[in-house]
Amino acid sequence: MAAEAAVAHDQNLPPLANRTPVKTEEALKALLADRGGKRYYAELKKLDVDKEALKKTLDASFKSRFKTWLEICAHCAMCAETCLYYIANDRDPKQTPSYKIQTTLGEIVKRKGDVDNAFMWYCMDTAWGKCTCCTRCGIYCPFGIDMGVMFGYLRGLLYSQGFVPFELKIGAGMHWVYNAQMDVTPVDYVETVEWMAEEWEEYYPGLKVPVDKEGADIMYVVNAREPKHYPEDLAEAAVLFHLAGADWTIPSTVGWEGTSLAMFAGDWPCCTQQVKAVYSAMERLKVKRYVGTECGHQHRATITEGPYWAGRKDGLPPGEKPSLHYVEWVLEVLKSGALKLDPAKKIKEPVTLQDPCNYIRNHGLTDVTREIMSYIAEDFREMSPNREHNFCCGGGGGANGIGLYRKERDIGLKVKRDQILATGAKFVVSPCHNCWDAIRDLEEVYEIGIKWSFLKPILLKQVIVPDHMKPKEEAA
Amino acid sequence: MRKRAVALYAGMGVLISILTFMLMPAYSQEDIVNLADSAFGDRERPAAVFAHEEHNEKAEIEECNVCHHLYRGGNKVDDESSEGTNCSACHYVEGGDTTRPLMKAYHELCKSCHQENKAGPVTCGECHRK
Amino acid sequence: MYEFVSGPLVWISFGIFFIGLLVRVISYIKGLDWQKDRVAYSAAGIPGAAKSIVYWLIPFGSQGWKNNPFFTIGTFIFHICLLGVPIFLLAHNILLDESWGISWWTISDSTADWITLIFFVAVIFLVIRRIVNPNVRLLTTGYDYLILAIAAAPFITGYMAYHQWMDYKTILIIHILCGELMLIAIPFTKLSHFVLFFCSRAQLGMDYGIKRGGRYGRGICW
Repeated sequence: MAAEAAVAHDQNLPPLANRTPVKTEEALKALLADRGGKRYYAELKKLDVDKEALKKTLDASFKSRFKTWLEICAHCAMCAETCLYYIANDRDPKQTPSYKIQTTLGEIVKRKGDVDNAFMWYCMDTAWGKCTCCTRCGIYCPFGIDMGVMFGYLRGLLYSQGFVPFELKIGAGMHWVYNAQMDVTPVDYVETVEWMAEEWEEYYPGLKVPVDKEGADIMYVVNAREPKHYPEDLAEAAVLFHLAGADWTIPSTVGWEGTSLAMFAGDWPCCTQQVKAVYSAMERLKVKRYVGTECGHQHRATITEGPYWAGRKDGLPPGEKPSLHYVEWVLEVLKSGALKLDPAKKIKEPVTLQDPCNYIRNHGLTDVTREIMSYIAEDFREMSPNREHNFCCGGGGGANGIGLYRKERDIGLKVKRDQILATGAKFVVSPCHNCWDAIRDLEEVYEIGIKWSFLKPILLKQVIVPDHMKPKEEAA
Repeated sequence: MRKRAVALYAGMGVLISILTFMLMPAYSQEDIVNLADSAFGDRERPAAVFAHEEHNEKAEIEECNVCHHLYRGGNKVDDESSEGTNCSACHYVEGGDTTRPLMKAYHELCKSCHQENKAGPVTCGECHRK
Repeated sequence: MYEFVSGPLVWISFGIFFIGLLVRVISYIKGLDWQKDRVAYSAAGIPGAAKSIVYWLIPFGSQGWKNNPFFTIGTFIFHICLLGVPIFLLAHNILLDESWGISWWTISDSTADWITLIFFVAVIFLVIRRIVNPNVRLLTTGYDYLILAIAAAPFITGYMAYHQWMDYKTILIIHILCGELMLIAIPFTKLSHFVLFFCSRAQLGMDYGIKRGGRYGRGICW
């Protein structure tokens, strides 16, 4: 009722819930001013469905792959046990992936877009509150029906109609306005990195952040959360590049950031703009390759899916050498010996490893993270299931950031909690921002007494700093 | 005493005639009731029912070589016939160089005529009755 | 009637079956879009496609099959019988041989009889699973039962015809009609998974083989 009143009160303002993506700073600020999205959601309850546009979009994009997937589904329910939400919700049949997609996208298709506001709400609740697009169900379906991919498509349809969780409407807006998931400009970013490098130079003499270095081997691309909330992560990355003697750089323009909340929102044109910014920074600086930070969806958005949004027919990002996820770069320098770890400093306690869906199941880097574990841990314990069969942390697909579905996400975290507990390890290595957040949150919600970490801090603790790189007094 | 003997002889007589009747088709054309060609060995299905006299009467077949044909040099000899020779003498079960396999020969001989004349069975179970 | 259902109608139904399936496959492939699907389809994806099909064609070959042993056994028996009995049945081969002069390896009638009974057990298992398993029950619609009935009908009527229950000729004609109905239904219904299984598996196999990590190590192992 209060929300309704608020809407009535603000009727003079342009509506926040609409079918138009947020593309100006002004519109972004108006949304941000709506704390928790109260007014946004109240308006969304009344947003009409543009049925004609929905039908047109379907006609243009609902092609053989999706058509076949929806049509031939044998309703065998083998996908039920594969879904983290199904397991976490006491095996509720309504959490069976097939049921979720058939009753949402399946209905929209059947009704040729003739659906109402209440139905769109049901679709939104399902697409963001009951699926993280982890694509685990797809690898267990006899017909190869990838419901995670289909939910991605459904999110696009919903987004085009304005039905998207508040935070993701903002998130996509951030990418439109700042080419980053947060309101961090390239100037802010470069300042933050340089400031961090200065701070840390005391301990690592000669530490520098090469900005806009043309022809560098590596262009390092980060997640905007790092400059905004964890600037020490940037310093750690700089130190590790420095110690490994890497020829690296960061751009001083847009393209410094590789994440894509637009991908979680289903705003495909925005995804295109975002990834093109990264590619053009690479091309402008003529770097040999891209290395992204410890983020899963950034890798998915920029390296795995990105080339297609950018219209690159070979499906590969630019650069004469293959683009790498941070874990690949780490393994490269560990193997080459450019970065040496002190075996005596290996983690002694039992430690387990989170397999981020976005670059494990969806980009095959399974062996890379395991090899790294052999360098850093004495008692590494696999979760079960693992590798491409891993469960999503529960925070994927944007789930970590959506207030409206917080409860659903917290329930979903139980699966990862139980997986971690079963290993007996109290320390989780999580080389992915979203997994890291989800594991932090699951500790907060369920208090199982675990620690969690990115790779960078662990590597920094174990790395052998060559004498000539140590501060003078220490070296002496 | 005599009564018992009469009954015994009568009983034996009935038994013998039944046995004779059962064995007869193999020896006498007059009373053929099915096409139980011994060349087949173990059959997948019961032998096809075929009452020779009744069939020929109904079908108005007078020449033996309509069925009991004789081929010489690849051509059917019009005025000769092959009754008294087993079908399997030429139509081996596994088929010969120039002749059809036995089963196929039976099937085609019966069915083609039935189809041509739009009379007589053509489906499996109509001949191979359980 | 028999002449019609065993003559022209066979041609018509096989015609619809083959042309229909061809249309399904061609339109599937034509509807693929490298950019919308986000898969750079190329010959490089063939090993991934093959792996995706083979692992799922082998009972307990994929993790999905391993996780569902009863369903795996049930569905494999169902499909092996469904394809095996009509193709290798002696009577069907005889008809084929008489019409076109082609035939192949056959199973004996008594074997076919037993396999048909096993098939019925598999059908009953699938029906019971639809009723008893709450996830399957929620997903199941009348259409699913109809599809199962279309697939089972030729077997039920074939079994009756073989054993010559009731009026043989009528049952035989119904049997042939049921077979033809199934052939015609395949391209137009969920039964199109007869070919679309291979299309869909190949597509996802290419997706994983080309984009989702196929170039790393062994790739996805299903």
